Amino acid sequence: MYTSQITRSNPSAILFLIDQSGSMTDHMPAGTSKAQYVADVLNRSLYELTVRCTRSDGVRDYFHVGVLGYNSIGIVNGFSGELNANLMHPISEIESNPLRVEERIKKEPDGAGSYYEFKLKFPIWFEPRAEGGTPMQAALVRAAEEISQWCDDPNHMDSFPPTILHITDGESTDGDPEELAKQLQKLSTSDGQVLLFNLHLSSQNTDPILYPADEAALPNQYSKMLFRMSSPLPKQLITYAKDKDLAISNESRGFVFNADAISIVDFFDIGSKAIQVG
Amino acid sequence: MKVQFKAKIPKEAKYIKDNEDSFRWSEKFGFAVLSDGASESFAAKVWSNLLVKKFLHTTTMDDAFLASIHEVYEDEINYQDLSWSKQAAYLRGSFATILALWENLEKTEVTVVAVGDSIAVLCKDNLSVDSFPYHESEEFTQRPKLLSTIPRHNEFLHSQDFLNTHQIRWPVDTTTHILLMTDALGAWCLKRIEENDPEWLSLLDLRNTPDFRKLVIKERKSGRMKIDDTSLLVLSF
Repeated sequence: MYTSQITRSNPSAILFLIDQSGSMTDHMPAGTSKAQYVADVLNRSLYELTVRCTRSDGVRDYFHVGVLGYNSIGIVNGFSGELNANLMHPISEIESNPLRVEERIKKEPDGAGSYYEFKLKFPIWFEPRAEGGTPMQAALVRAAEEISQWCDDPNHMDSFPPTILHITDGESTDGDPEELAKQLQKLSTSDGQVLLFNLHLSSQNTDPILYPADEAALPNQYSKMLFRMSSPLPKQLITYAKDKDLAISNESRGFVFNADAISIVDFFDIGSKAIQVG
Repeated sequence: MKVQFKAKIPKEAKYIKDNEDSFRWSEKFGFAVLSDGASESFAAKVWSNLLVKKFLHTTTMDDAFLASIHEVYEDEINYQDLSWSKQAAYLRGSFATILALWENLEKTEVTVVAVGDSIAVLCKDNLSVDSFPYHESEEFTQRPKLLSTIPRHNEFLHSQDFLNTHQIRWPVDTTTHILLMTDALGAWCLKRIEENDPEWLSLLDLRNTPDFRKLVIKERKSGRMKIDDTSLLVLSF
């Protein structure tokens, strides 16, 4: 299980499930709004994923990617423009259709003990959004429908199973989502069950927590619930994560509290070997 | 030295031209070089190709030599014309293994230099005697050092014990065969040797690419061989 190699003939899928409710206007301990934080996480995750799939001859479609945003207005495709027509897109389409491309200044070590600065193009696909309630149950049902359809496609039957990255402050307004999350994780390809990762954003001024192994140390009821809703990390992902120096145990779950979720993108082995980036 | 067999099988049959393994040899000068471009690199195929081309007639691996290869690599890329994602991928660099072998003038000994997880297996009378740089299949789970287009990633070349850890000499005679392999096949071969499974010996008998392809596809299907670009050179002496 979870051993299928991600290739262009055998792609995997990543669905971002984004809480866009009114409570996301609340601020994180560092001062930014949760909605802004979500937009940053999404833009950087898509950037990272796209760059990892880019070669000199183009972008290779190792992944199909979709974004579902939810609030009381509805459960909608989180992409705008060309990408709004369908939910799931090959990563090459994501690369070609950002809302805009900004220029940012980046610093890198020069190898001689100093740093040099250079301009880096950074695409933006999402703007912060926050309004209305948090229909988490309905969002999980919709995610299940979409992912079920993807898994049923004969071209994906043997693929590495889809990953859902759910970003929320955890305050569901349409009931307890725990049971639905368990149902969602029962969807599968021949290579294993769907992986549900939860990134919990909180205004609570507590240290970030990455991939805990139990809920005891989590700071509130919402974290504990989201922890229980999160998939245990498969052995193969634990190996990759440890290889990238992430503090992870064999019982870790795909749960992150007030922390960067970019590491999740790094879990996927799409190359012939891990490379010494950084 | 004779190249008794050589072949490469792509990771995905649909994308033959994207095979990122490269090898070259010269029987006249007793040289053979193999390189596996890391898939998760900007231009792995270009980089591994340049490495084998330039390594074919050298026994030195230092900054100056890599810089000369890097210059050619840079000439092939026009950064300003790249899309945002290609620019970002380019800045992360390209990575590849190198496995180079050359005979001494007396043709009694070979020197093998290896960076990364492409391996050489020394066989005498159809028995595996040694392998380099890995000795156990388990070692393939580690993260290998690779030669990069980003100079700061090549700092390990400056290590004082670089030659002790990356180079070996083996005696050769008419009973010797040396297999040069990229990682998927190397891991498979060492595992078969560890399990006393004689199937690895079929590598010594290969005479045509379809037979090699058949073996690779069968082993991939069984899950015993990782799906990756797969290359093999069989050398006899």
